[in-house]
Amino acid sequence: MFKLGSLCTALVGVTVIAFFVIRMAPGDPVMMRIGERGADPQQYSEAFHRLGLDRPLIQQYAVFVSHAVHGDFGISVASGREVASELLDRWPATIELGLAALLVALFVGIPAGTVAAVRRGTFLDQVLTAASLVGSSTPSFWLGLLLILVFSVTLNLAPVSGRLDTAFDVAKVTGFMTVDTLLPASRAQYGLLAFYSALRHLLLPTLTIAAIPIAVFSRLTRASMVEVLSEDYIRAARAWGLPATRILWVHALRNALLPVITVLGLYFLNVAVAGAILTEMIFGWPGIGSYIVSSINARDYPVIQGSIVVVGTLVVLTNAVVDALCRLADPRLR
Amino acid sequence: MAKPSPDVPAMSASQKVGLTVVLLLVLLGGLAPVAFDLDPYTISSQLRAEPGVSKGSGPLLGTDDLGRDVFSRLAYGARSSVSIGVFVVTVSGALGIFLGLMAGVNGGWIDTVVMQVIDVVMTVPSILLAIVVASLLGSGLATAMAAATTVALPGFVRIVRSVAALEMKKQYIQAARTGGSSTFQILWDEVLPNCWAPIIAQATLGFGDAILNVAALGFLGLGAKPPIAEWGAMLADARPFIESNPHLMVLPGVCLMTTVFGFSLLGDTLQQQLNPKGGSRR
Repeated sequence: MFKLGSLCTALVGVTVIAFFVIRMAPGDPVMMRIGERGADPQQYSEAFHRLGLDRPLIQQYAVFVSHAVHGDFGISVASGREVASELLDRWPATIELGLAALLVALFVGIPAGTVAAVRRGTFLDQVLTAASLVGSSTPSFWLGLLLILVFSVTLNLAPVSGRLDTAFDVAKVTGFMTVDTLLPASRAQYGLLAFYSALRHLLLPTLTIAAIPIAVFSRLTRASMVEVLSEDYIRAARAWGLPATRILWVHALRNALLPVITVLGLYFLNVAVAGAILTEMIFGWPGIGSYIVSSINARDYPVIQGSIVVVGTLVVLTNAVVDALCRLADPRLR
Repeated sequence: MAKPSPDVPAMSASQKVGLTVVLLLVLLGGLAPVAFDLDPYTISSQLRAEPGVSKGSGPLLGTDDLGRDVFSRLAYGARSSVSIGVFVVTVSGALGIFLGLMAGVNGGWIDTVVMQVIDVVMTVPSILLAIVVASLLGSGLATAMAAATTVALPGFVRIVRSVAALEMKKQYIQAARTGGSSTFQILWDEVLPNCWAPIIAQATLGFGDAILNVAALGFLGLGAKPPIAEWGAMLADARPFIESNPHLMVLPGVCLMTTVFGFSLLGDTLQQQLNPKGGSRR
């Protein structure tokens, strides 16, 4: 639990970065809030005071953090709505995409790495290794465009953008399209058609984000599996007469996965956030990522600030959880 | 880039592939513009790529939506990429060596402060960090490069710090100190030479990452501004023509992927050779 200190430092760091985004942004913060036109000096000084800009910097930071803790990130300049509610609206779309990509990456990457480790040195191993090398150097934004070119433009198999065909009008309950389309209300109206549409929309963005993690997970699994398979206890299990598949998928894989899980937290989040930003933009996916991009283009600093706090905090906390899980799973780390 | 020394084994096949790619990139960026008298900027309404009349007549790889020669733009894109890589790796490497030595050699509070800051920087996903930097400084190739430098810095600091901290405990440092060497001399003559091997491997990997990050920012419209030829920005320009002229989108991506592939192949193998215990990149 001595990790608690660095967890706090990281959280402070994230909020400091976010705090200074507004402070260092080009333009006058008061003018940004009250509008560029028609501000007489009295209005200006009132706003200056109201925004707390006449207070010491450290106090301003404290106010900012206490607001952030209460979920108050100010008002979006572009839409006039609260940043927090805008983020909440878009959150499920990003989580849905991220989870789908994580599942695909795990269920493709880990078996591929395991197979490569068992058949190491064979042609299959070389093909898988080469594929993972190529996969990890493919820029995700280019892959997204390629997938659109192949599956949407040429084969007409998957839609190019959005989360659902416009023909369906599904009530927003959880915000997860794949869940909302399965709820009774939607089932009664469209049957499973809306659900299939949601899945089809999810397909290409998911593959775009998952490609690099698949490559990395399979490489890691292969390396760690090769090591584990040469351990004495595996030989003992073989001598004991346990079935080979059971040894492989239960005894060996469980231990081989530890180093993979350690990387999974930080690495996947990093890729997912980057992937989310680039991929959501390509596929017009209405999540946090495309929101960040559009607010940067609109110079909507409260939104950028809020997004940094939310995404940064999520990354820091996830890392802490993954770290704790690894300590639980592996007594040697304690 | 890496000087072959007697204790480094012969090049492996993947290293040769990586090196070839890197050399090709340098050739394309450095020589092609000079050798073929290329012009990536002239706009021509006659040569404009329209559905159906893109390839074939005239220029080698056709023209883009503004009638600019695609091959020239790719070659100048290679030139941009090489400059981006050199700049980012040099600046982040130099800063990283400085900070890493400070932290590793002195220990104490300097070490704590530097490493905590680096940890925070590493926590923020690199593209988000790059976006923050780019949105603060205003978009453009220079700020995209500054952003990529910020993202690359932690890697160098951590590597130099860990090697330096390890070396400082060894007896020969004690001997040098007893012999009257100043701290700076010890750093320069004793500690730094031990750091070069991992730094070179990190720099090679960082070169590819830098090109990729700047291209990603260019793709988002936060990097190179028109009419600069840069692969990421070219990809963004090609998006509207994905149906009519897919080659505009395929070619810059192929260049980008091949470059990143070459550098990571070379970097990974260098890392394994120079530091057999260290394992792979992340």
